[in-house]
Amino acid sequence: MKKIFNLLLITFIFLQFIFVTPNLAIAAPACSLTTIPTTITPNDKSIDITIGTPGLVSNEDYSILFWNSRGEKILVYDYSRQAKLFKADASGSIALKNFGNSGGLNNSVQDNFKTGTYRLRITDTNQNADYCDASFTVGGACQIIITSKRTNDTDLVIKVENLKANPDDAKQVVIKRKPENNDVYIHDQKVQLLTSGLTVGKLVAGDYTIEIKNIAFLNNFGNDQQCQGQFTIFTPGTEPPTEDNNITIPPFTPTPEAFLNPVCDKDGSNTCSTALGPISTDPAGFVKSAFGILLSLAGGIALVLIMISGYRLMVSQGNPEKVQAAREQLTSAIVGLLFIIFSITILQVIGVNILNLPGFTK
Amino acid sequence: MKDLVLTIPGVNNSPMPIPNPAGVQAYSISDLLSFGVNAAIVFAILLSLFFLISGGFDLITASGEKQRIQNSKQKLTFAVIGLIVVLLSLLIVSIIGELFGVKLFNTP
Repeated sequence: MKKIFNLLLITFIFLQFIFVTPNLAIAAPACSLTTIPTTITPNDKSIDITIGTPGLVSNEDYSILFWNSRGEKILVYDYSRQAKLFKADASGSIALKNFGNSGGLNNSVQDNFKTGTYRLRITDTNQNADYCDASFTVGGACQIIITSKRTNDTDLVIKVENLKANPDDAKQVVIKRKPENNDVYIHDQKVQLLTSGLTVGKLVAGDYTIEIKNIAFLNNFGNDQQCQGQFTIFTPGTEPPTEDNNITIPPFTPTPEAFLNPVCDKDGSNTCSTALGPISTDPAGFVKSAFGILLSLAGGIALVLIMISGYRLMVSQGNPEKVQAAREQLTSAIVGLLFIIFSITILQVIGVNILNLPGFTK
Repeated sequence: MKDLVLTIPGVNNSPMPIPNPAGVQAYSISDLLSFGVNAAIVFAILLSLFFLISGGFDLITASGEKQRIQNSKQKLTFAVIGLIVVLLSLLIVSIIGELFGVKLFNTP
């Protein structure tokens, strides 16, 4: 009797966990967004943004959340390092002046915008309700021109145009061979050398990708491409006939990524990938995922308990008390597992069919 | 909006990868658990072998005494039963899962 009571108690605690769903991110409508300049390049340190949606009330305070191209949240601080609040104007839009990649508003050293997709969201001052989402992309400004014959018997010479940087600054040149993505050339070179023509050397025939990056430094770790593209090196005689030996890799525009929640919805599938498997972020799906995880855990625990009871049977050496205890453990493990499996059905019968609790439906 | 996920920031919010320890091929909790389950089954076989040998030894040295023969026989029986329970544990749990149509092991 006591055993059954304990089992019921555990089942109900378990059900409590299932039906407490947290306040999870749901896709908000799109904001209107205009930027100055209209096309943002990595040469820009700060930009002016006007962001809005018809629902905003004039002169009310709002918070703005900002994510960078790697999906990391950057807080928009004011001078006192508090989350900054913004007032909407009469037309229901918010103006951000001198908005920088580091999120600070012209009050600290700002990094240039790295290429990729950036995302903004207007929320209330407690960051609980979302009003709208907007995103903008930052593409490369420079173009790469390969001036030598693209064959493996001549030295490869690359020239970078429209690289707006101090001639004495250095950029990293990375050439990788496809498909293994092995680095064949990775060096820091001065901007003046890149704009006048850099001799890279002979490359074996194959497909390559080239990137001009900011130097990997504490402040700009990661994917900070200025320009990028692909080219092919041929063995002499097999190259396609062209009048021009130069190949021009134009400035690139990253494809805008549609992401809802930067950490969890990178692919827009409404799931968070965790160590316990994908977890859905909409309430019904979350209950399903949580139930799935708890069922798996229950299955694993039952498995371990049955194994332990097997061990206990083995070492009992026929001692009736020990055999009895091990047997009880075995049956309890199986009965407990059955209770967990049937918990949903039990709840449905009690909550929906018998008590007609409000909020519970099939 | 509150994020459910904790990010570990590195330098200037860049992501910090956490590599596996050298020689460990586990990529998820289920990988680790299945390693433990396999180890437990192997250990159970060895343990049951030990009890079979010790039970047989008891049977030899019982020299016809009824009580000791009884005890060693029981020792042998439960060594085998225990091994069967351990070996069947995976099957029992998966049969229960199959019977009621739920996935108890979320292995792909």
